[in-house]
Amino acid sequence: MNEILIIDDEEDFGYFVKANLELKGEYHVTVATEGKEGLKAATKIKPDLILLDIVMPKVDGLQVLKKLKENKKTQGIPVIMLTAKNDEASISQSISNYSEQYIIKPIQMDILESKIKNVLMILGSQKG
Amino acid sequence: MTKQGSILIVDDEIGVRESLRMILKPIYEVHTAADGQEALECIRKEKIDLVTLDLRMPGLTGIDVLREIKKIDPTIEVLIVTGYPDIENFRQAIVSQGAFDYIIKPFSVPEIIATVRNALLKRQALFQKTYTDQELEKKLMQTEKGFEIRTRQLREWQIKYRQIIENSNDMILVVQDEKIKFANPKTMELSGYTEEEIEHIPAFQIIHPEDRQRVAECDARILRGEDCPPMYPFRTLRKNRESFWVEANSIRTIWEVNPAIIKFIRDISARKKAEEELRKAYDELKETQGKLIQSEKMAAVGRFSAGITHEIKNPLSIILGGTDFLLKKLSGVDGDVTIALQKIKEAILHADHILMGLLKFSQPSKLVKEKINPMNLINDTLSLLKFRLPFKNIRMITQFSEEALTINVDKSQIQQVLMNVFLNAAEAMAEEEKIFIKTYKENPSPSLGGKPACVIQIVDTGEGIFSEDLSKIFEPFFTTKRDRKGTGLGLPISKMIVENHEGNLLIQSEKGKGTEVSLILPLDEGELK
Repeated sequence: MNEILIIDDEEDFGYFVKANLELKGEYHVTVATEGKEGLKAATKIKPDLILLDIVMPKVDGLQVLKKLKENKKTQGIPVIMLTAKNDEASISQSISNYSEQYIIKPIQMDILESKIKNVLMILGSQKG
Repeated sequence: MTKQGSILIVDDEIGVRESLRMILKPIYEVHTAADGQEALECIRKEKIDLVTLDLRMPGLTGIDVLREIKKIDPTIEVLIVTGYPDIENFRQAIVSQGAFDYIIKPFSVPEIIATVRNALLKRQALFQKTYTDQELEKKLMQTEKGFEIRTRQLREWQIKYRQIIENSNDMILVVQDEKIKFANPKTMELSGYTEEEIEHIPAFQIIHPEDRQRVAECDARILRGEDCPPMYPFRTLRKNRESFWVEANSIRTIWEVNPAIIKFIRDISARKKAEEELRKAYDELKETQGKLIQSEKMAAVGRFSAGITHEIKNPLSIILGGTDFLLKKLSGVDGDVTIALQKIKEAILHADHILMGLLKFSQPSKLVKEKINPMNLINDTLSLLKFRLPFKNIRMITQFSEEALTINVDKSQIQQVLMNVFLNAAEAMAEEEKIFIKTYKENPSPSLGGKPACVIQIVDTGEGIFSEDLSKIFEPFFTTKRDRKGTGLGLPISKMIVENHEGNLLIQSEKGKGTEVSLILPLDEGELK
């Protein structure tokens, strides 16, 4: 079973992502609703993948991403950025340093799931 | 015995008055007056043949009274009766004022009777034989002189009028029985006909065919003496069939005994042209104003949507997540619930689609340009299109310019425009129809200010657009296919993209016949990369 961490201040969104992904029993999802909490959970759980919202109060997603990538314990974890923001170009630019993917909200759950699968597969093949 | 005339005796001395009355009474009807005023009143009232007049009287003098008498009736004879022989006064009275003779007081009875008789005889003679030979000659001379003067005056007037008519800046012509009976030089100049020609053509020939009936009606009214607009514009026709605007003022007249119309026709083509230019300028101004309002509206939509979109997208993502969860959880449990959830999900995706459109408006992406052949761009788009929407077996017929064209554009954005236009065309058409796609070079292109352009023309034979809708199709949120999930943003975004490329997007359409979309992009005349 794959361990997924979602860091998003929209608690209900996190709830439904968890509900959807856990439905078939393939994933276990932990939900964090703010940046600091997310960073803590990431070092503690060491998830296979992190879903990270960009726009959050206090510590935003880009700061969290930077910290995750600076921390040796978490820098290997793939991150998919989530955003309801408009400007795709600036988003892709701001996260390009970490060659991470991004998803624009709202997202259909099966699309999200297939993206997650793809990332995990690539990771798996790299590890293998 | 009938009296032989009527005499008025005017004298301030009652003795003189009475003695004269006594003398004349047996023969004549006699009136008396004591002063000038009374005398004139009597003359105005009574039929008087002769007046005996004292020269020296209080109030009006005899000379004054004489003058007044002759004014009232110059045929009344006046005999001066005075006690003061004053030759100058007599001369004046007789020569200048037309008195008959004078008698100096005291007078003898036979003298007065004879003089009175003579005076009355003269008056009688005058009445019986109006003119003596001498007078006749005098009269004739007067008539001849008058005739000469009148002829001269007439000639002068004729010259004046002719000068006015011949030098008039207006055409002046006389029309009678559909013929031009008279035309001034300006008429020949403006109509292009010679004087001889103009006399032989039907009058309506110099009027534009479309205006003939109106002019004829007006002429008929004028001839009947009915009301007609005093000035009205119409078009005249030159000999070379050119037409120009005039304004005419027509009046009824008599020409060679019969009714006719004089027309004063003014060339107002310069004024009309100025009016036309003014109207054109006004229309252009209105169009510019419309465009300004439109772009202002777009900008407002942009500012508004940038702020609101993010706020809506977050709750939408929760609803979508929830709906997806329920769909998975309940699939196979209850068909109706699944259908309901599917519809909710579709609505969410549609709302998201609108928001995405809004975002494109509010923050148009930066252009990443590359030089490309429009043929490749179209072919790539068509192959992408194969995966989109049921296609009703619609065939795309392409006809590319033989000359290799190059445009410098953001490929993905122009592809988006093409996709949008193709999908619109496909949706507007029935099964098994064709969409024609053509590319060609347009140099100079009027819609790009004369610069060379590459035109991508997409013609469909679909349902077309109502003319009243045509002006609104570039307005954000205007859609005729709300029922088919239209957002009303496809064309506004397409236009914006094309305009960001300094191009133009033109749409012509007729309801029931189809639509022609022209994507006009600046031609890149440099080398292909």
